[in-house]
Amino acid sequence: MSTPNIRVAGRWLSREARFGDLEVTWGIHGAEQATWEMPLKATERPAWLGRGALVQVYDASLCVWQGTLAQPDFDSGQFAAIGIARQGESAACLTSAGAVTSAPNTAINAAIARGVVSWVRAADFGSTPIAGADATGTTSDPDPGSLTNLLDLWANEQDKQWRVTDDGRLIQATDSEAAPTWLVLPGAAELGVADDNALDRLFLRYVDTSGYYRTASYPASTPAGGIERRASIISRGPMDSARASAIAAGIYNAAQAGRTGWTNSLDLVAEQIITPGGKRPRPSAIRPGDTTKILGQRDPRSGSPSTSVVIGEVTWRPSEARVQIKPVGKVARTYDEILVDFKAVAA
Amino acid sequence: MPLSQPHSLTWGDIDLSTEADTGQSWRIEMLAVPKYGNPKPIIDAVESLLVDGDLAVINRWGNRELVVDVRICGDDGIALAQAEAALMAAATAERPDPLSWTPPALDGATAVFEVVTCTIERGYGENWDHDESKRLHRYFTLTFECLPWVRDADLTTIPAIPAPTSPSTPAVYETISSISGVGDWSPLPCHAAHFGTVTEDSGTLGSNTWYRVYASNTLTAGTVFLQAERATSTSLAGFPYLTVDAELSSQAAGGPAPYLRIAVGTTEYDPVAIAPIPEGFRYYFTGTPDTIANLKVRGYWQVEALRTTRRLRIFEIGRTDRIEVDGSSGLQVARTAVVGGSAPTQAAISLDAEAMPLLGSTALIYTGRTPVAPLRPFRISSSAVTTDTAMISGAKHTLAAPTVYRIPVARLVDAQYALLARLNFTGSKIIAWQARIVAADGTDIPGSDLIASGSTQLTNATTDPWMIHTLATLPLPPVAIDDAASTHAVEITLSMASGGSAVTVDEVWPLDSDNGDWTVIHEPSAFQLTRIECRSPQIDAPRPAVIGTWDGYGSQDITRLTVPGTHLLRPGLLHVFTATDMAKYAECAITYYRRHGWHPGPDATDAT
Repeated sequence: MSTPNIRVAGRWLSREARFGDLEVTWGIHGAEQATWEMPLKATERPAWLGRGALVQVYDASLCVWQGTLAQPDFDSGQFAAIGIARQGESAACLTSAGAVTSAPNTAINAAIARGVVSWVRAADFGSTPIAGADATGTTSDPDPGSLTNLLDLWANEQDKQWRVTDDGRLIQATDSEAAPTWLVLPGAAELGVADDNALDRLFLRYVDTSGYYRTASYPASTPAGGIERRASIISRGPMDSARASAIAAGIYNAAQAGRTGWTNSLDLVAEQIITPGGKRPRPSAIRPGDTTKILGQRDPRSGSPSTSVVIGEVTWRPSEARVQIKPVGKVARTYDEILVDFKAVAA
Repeated sequence: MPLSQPHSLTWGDIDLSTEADTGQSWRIEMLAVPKYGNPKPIIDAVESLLVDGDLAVINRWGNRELVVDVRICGDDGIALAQAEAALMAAATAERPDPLSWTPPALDGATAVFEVVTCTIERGYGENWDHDESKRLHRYFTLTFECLPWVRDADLTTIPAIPAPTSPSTPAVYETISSISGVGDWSPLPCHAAHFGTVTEDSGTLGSNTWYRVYASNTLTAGTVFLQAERATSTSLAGFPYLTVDAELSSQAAGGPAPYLRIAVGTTEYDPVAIAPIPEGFRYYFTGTPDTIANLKVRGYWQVEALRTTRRLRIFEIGRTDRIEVDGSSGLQVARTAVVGGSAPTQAAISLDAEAMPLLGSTALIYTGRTPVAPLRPFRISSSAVTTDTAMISGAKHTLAAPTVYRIPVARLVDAQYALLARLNFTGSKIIAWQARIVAADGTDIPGSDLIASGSTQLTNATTDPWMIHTLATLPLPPVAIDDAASTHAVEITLSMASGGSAVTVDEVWPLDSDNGDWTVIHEPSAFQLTRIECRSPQIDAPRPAVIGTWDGYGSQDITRLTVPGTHLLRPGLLHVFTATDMAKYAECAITYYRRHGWHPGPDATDAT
């Protein structure tokens, strides 16, 4: 009976206007997008409802999503907010002195200090530059791009995930299919198996510490009939062979390589999902990084009678009491996209 | 067919009934009694391999539509224009007036349709110009979009329970006579066909002797009760409240909490309050005769398709001068009321300090179908506890060591909960929480390894360190429990990785969000409220609002400072739980419109 509410710039929308059609999306890194409909009369254009206002979505009085108002469209009554996890996309990687850096802790702390991200760094992301030091060479550009790009580089090299929680903490996570958080009841939904974007062995060009071009590969051999692809990370500066091999493995694993991908999402109501304790979950509590076990669908990878997948994206639509769960490895996560994450280019 | 009985349809101050005479040079009259539309169910069908067919869920009810054809009659062009102007003014009002329909039936009560939008169209039937020139008639079609349920013409008020005359003195509670065994009681099912064999027994919990009646229900849908009748006479001797300490076996997921009524002769009494105690709940009754020859205690359950054992265990019959939540010195108050009508409704809920100390700056108001059990009495371990009468719970402790609460599953209904806590800190703190099921003594049982857990960063940006925060949302109990195993408990733990000594805990409340909602109010402590009113949109406010009244500063909206709840009331027993930081026994009144499908009437329970 408790209903979701939205707070914009500290004001409860339920007090200000009638709103509906709320749709909240969390991506693999946290709060991504929220949209709602709120028909206002042509004379109602409150100043506090402007671009950049803090938007918080509450369910049962707990803040489950936060971000900033991006596109108030008064004409159509459509409002869209961008989640807190996406603030890193528009944050540069700079030191406190303003020089380009690829040292994660330095870049995160400086971005928080500049106020371009409203995060709290709740973990140690390391202080060694990932893409080479600034102003040390002329052959390659060590600029890691945006803070999101830098964190993706960090995550793939560490084989971990970075995530911004709903309360604004930047944390590290290891997502695993091993321990299911949610169970999907038999017959509720099924994942289609994708065959495109397959990758069986990756060859990676890099520059070694002496300045010579070299190749790293992962895995060590190609299966018969396998698909080999090539990529280059020379822009990331000189590195030793161990680190280049780790990056090759990171690209391979992030692309769900050696496995199949999925063609669709799960569109479910609360009655179709249970916790391992047999309880109906609160739809707004399901998050990317959780593992969902689809009972009754044979796993095409292992032959197990159920399929466990890590959730990559969740869209919650409270007015329909529905939640859409997109698995990690859904084919949109293509080999080319993975290369962009790594600042690598297809060679 | 013409209607022989008197009836009327009015729209604001316009009487559309054909018999009406406005006393003016024009009239507006309906051409026929309109059809009153139907609420539209919004149904979500779910496919499942588990059963044939679809599992359908009614998510909510949509608006209904009424179409009324009217004719305006006037003496001349001026009168016709005046009538049209009156119609237009009503149709284009910012908030159109409701439609009131009194049906042509003896003792038919007036049904009020709340109009969301109204559109008006000029009717151009055959010979419309002839009608106008020869008869001075103009025709219009009014289309009303109305809220799904009709309401009574008048508000229903559930009055506040009066505060005790001397709130600062300790409560006076007396046991009327101790339960000594089975001899004093006789068990009875509501109907022989609804239950299997009814059994009674007796035993002790600690030093407390209890009497129990239990049976498996054979009826698989509807409401049933088990009764225990006391042979010895019960005397209230001037005390306002009769109390029954009892425990009812819990109910499967989805329904309201089971509850207790008493009967004297053929008159049944609903409890006026249900407050948690270590053994179960204390049910308060008032308005009964001072001396009751045969007190009947009835435990009510809503049964489903399962054949499970229902148990009613009675610990004590007592009398007291006030309603109190254990240990809270009157700062937490639980009360119940029966919501009338047959459809969900919304209410204005007021919390009033009256002549008592001020309401203070913090308040929690919960309404729902589940009793609230504050966790302080269920604390098992923590850092040292200090008694403090300024605390809502009467005591406080820090999070320097993990705080463990162990609450019997019978104190909870199977639902989604939110954990709210009143904490003292400034800045930001990360608090970890977890919940799991255990045996009554805390030992691990199957399912104890399934732990619902997480952590939340709480921020207090105000100058007042004491705030009520929402820590988590989680299903409780974390593992679905068949009610036969009702001795299990839920263990809830709050902890901090470091710096826990800077966080002080007053009270923690698990609140059922499936069956209820709540409003949390924080005001700077420099200004203390004497009265709070949570208004719902249908009652004297265009949108939901929380209005605060200060001593000497008047009233104003304080919604910005609160967590506003949607206080939706379902017909039947309503639990209201309030906690404030200063006012003892704050008086809580509820004002609402009873709502119905099509036709209002007296509630079935009104007859008794």
